[in-house]
Formats: sequence, C-alpha cells, structure tokens
Amino acid sequence: MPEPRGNLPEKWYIWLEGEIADWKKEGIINDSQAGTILQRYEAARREGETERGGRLVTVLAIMGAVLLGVGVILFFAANWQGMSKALKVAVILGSIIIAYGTGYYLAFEKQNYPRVGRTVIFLGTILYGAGIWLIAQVFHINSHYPNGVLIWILGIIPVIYICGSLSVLIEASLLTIMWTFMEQTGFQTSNWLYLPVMAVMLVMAYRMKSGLAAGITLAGASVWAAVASFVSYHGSRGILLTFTLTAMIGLFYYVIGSICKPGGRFKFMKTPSYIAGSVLFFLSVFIISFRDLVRIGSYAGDTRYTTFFLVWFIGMFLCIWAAAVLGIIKGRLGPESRKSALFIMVLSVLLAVLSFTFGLLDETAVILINNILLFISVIAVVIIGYSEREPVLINTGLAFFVLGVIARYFDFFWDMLPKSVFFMAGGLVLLVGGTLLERNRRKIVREMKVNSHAA
Amino acid sequence: MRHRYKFILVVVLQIVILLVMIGMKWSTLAFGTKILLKTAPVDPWDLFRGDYVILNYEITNLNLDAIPADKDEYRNNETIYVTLKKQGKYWNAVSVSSKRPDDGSLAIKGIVRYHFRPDANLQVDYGIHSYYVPQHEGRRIEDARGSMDVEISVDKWGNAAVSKLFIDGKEVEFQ
Repeated sequence: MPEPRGNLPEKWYIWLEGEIADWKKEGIINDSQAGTILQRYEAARREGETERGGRLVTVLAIMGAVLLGVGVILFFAANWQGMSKALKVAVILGSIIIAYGTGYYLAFEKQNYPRVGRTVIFLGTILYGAGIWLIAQVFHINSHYPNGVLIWILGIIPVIYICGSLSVLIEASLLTIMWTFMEQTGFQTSNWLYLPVMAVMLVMAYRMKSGLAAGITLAGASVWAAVASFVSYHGSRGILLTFTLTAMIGLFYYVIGSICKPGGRFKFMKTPSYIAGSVLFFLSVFIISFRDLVRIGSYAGDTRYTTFFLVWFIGMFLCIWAAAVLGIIKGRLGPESRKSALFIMVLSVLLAVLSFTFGLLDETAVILINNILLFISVIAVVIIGYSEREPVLINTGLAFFVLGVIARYFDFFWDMLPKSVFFMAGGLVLLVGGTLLERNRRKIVREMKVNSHAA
Repeated sequence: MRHRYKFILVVVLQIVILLVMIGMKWSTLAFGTKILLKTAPVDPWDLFRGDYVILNYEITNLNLDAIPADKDEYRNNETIYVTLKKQGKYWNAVSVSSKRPDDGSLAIKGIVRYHFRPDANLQVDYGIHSYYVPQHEGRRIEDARGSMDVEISVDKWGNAAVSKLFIDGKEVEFQ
C-alpha cells in the first residue's frame, strides 16, 4: 500500500476527522473503513508532529546561538581592557574549537542531540566571524574591511559542505549579500568576485535542496546587479536604466521558476524563483513609477548606456527568451505556464523598448508608461497566480497593487492633471482585469468542484 | 563519523586563517621600520569592534601639484606606493608611484580612494586609519585633542600597521 503524502498541516487532519464522521453518518463508509482511513493517516500525522517539534528545537537553538554569538561579539567589542592581546586571541580560538568539537560530538559522534549539535556548529561559525573582527580590533586592521566578511564566508563554506548544515548555508548566503553590498558601495567597484561566490552558494542550495537559501542568493544577485549598474553610471544618473535592468532580472527569475518541474530535480527553486522574480520585478517598476525618482536620475537628455548595462540587460533578455522558448519546445511548461511565459516574453520586449527609447519620450510619457506597465503586470500576475494556483503570485500582485494605488493616491494631490490620465487608464485596466479575474476564479472553483465530485 | 578528519581539517583551516591574519600584522609590527605621522582624529562607533578613533594623516590627502608622481591620473582602488622621508620629527610624502621603488627608500603601500583631477588631490587609504580603544574612550581622546601623533610600522613591501598612539607626546596605553 503506498504511503500517504506526509507533512500536511494539522488543520487538514482535523478536517479529515470531521469528514469521516460525516461520511459514517451518511452511510458512505462503515466503521471498519473509517478506522482504516484514520489509521492510514495516523502515522503521517505523528511524523508531522515530531517534525514540527524538531523544527521548533532547531529554531530555538539557532536563536540561542545567534544571541550567544552576538553576545560574544559585543563582549569583545566593549570589554577588552582587562585582557591582554594574547589572552583575547586564546579565548576566541579556544571558544571556536570548543563549539565545533562539542557540536560535532553531539551531532555526528554521539548522535543523541543531532539538532542541538548542528546548532552548536552554527555557533562555531559565528564565533569564527567574531574572531576575524577581534583580531582586526586587536591589531587595528581596517584595510579593506569587506574582506573580513569574505574571509568569514570562505571559512564556513566547507562546514556547509561537510555537515550539510542549513543554518550555516543561510548564514553564508546572507553574509554574501552583506559582503558584496559593503564592497560595492564602500569602494565603488563592480565586485566581479561576487559571481563565483554566488555560484557556490547556488550549488550548495541545490545540494541541500534549500529554497530559502536559493531565494536569498537570487535576491543577493539582484542587489549586486543593481549596485554594479549604479557604479557603472557613477551614481543616481542611471536610476531608470538600473531598475529596468533589475526588472528584467526579475522576469528571468520568474521564467526559471516556470521551467522548474514540480517533481523534478530543481523543484525547490520553483517557489523562491517565483517570489524573488515577482517581488524584484514589481519593486523595480514601482520605484520607477515615481516622477521624483526618475527626475533625480537626470532622465532628461541622458541616454548613455554603459557597457555593464548593455551586456547584462541584453544577456538577461536573451536568457529569458531562450528559457521560455526551450520550456515551450521541450514541453516543460503546462498550458497555463505557457501563457505566462509568453506574457513574460512580451513584458521583456516592452522593458527593452522602454529602455532604448526613453530618450525620445518626455518625462510624463515615461512615468505614464511605467505606471501602466506596473498595473498591467499586477493584474496579469494575479490572473496567472489563479490559473497556476500559486498563492504566492496572487499575494505579491495584490501587495504591489495596494502599494501602487496608495502611492498614486498621494501623487494625485501633488500633481493632479497627468494622474487623471493615469487613473482613467488604470481604471480601464482594472475593469478588464477584474472581469477576467472573476471569470477565471469561477472557472477554477467549477473545476475544483468537478474534481472533488469525481474523487 | 566518516567525515571526522575533514571536519577537523576545516576547523584547523579556520584557525590557520585567523593566525595568518595575526602573523601578517605581527611581522609588520616586529620587523617594520618605525615612523611617526601627525594626525587629527574624529570619533565614530563601529558595531563589530567597539569604539575606535579615525586617524586622518597628512599623507592621506596628497597634492600632486606639490609632490612628483609617475602618472597624471590614478584610478580609484589602484594600488600605489608613497615614498616617505623623515623631515624633522615626522615622515612626509616625497613622491608617488604605481610601482614599489627599488632604491631602498621607505615607501608605504596604499589604495587610491579618489583622485580629484581639477585640484590634483589624491586621497589614499593605507589601512591604518583606525585605532581601537575601550568603549567611551574614543570621545575622551577626541575631547583631549591636542597634538596627536601615531607611530606606524612599515615593512619592506610597504605594508603598514599602527604601533603606538601619542597625545601631546605621551603614549596612550589601554592594556
């Protein structure tokens, strides 16, 4: 007999118990069948409870490790008067060795406290980072401070590889974002070294099938691209083009999410790619929907394209088309995903046209186009979310819809005339989109009813 | 159990990284030439490392109209070598080069932060711009600002490390 699908929420079991009681009352099933069904799910339910309990232990232990680690950093930062240099170094090295030794013993040697053991190893990685800063403090080192974070990352990558520690992977993924941000903003560089480090993070996320780590790394890659684009434009001059680039990267992430098959090797990438892609796209278009921000970017007349922008923008555009076309040809996309892939291809063309013709348009026209693009995309993503049954997309779309309406509401009072055109266009788009949405919603509900009857 | 040795190797690697960091600075401090630079501090606070005093040296901002250089324009983040010469009590910059001088003269290695072309001003980071002090001591040093000097150790490759801090000629010691 095949095992029932595990990891279902507790609410679902409560619902099932109620349904079984009703089925018994209605004579659909007898006592023996009810008992068999309940028994079938009991083991999965217990397993789920144990898993949730285990996760709680991990979360509590990680929180404890973070607090302890921060405490150690602050202790050394604030109370170093009473200790000699040698003692300070000895204490930090000793605490690293003790943390790693205890953690490894509990998790892999004794194996009686695997979750606590892994968390103590995680604490060891924080203490190692604290050690880098302590040594910088003791020896007054301040040359190129982002290197401290890089050394931290490089030191803990082997720990992820050997122990398969998710918490250390998340730590390293967050540190990678912090490192590239410090490096790029502090020293105005493109930081090309970020790309191989990012690739390592993605490989580790793949090895551990961690959607969270993949999502953090995808978000980090967009931070890297945005800052590198700003650096290439020497500041805010390239604000419009920088955010059309990040919007294009968002579309690329989205397409990647579409071609990850639910049962395939990359299924863990599906949801993070959808979330990172849609949030990045909407955030980017939302930012350039503000007149003041586009104006700060000295939009008027400056249509210079840097090599960085051209290479990455065109590269992303080609990747989107290649991934979408391959997805359609190879049959990796379902009928609904095919429609959304075609929509993404259209959006990528619109972004490309906007980016390469905005010099020919006046400021108001550019703002208007950006706003229409934002609201059309919001409505489209909600429709796609309904058709593909991805609540993440619906939620993201609705969140940016609310943000967009609030932002334009405030704009309205400052500058009424151009916004009247915008509201008319937005209203029309909403009416059409709302009708489509309602029709689709009914279709889905009808289909679901048919499916439940068939079952 | 099977990856015990690999794990031990990783821990050793991390300890070695930390020891190399210490060793590099220690060797500069132990074997480098001691020089005295004049400075004026300001006091920020760094979350990771507690209080520290920012040290701003005369050799941080170089006027290339007054000091000979081997190039007209330096890129941001470019490595340069500033040759120093003792003039009275302090050491001052006498030339700028993108290559380490091989005539035996003392040169300090730095990274170009900005090169302002109109006034030929070159801003250089030598990695010796912070001096860490116990919490709340930074403000005291800032308030007591009189004449502040810093003893720096410079090794033969141009690497520098902060050795001692002097206020009104008296060494400041925190441990």
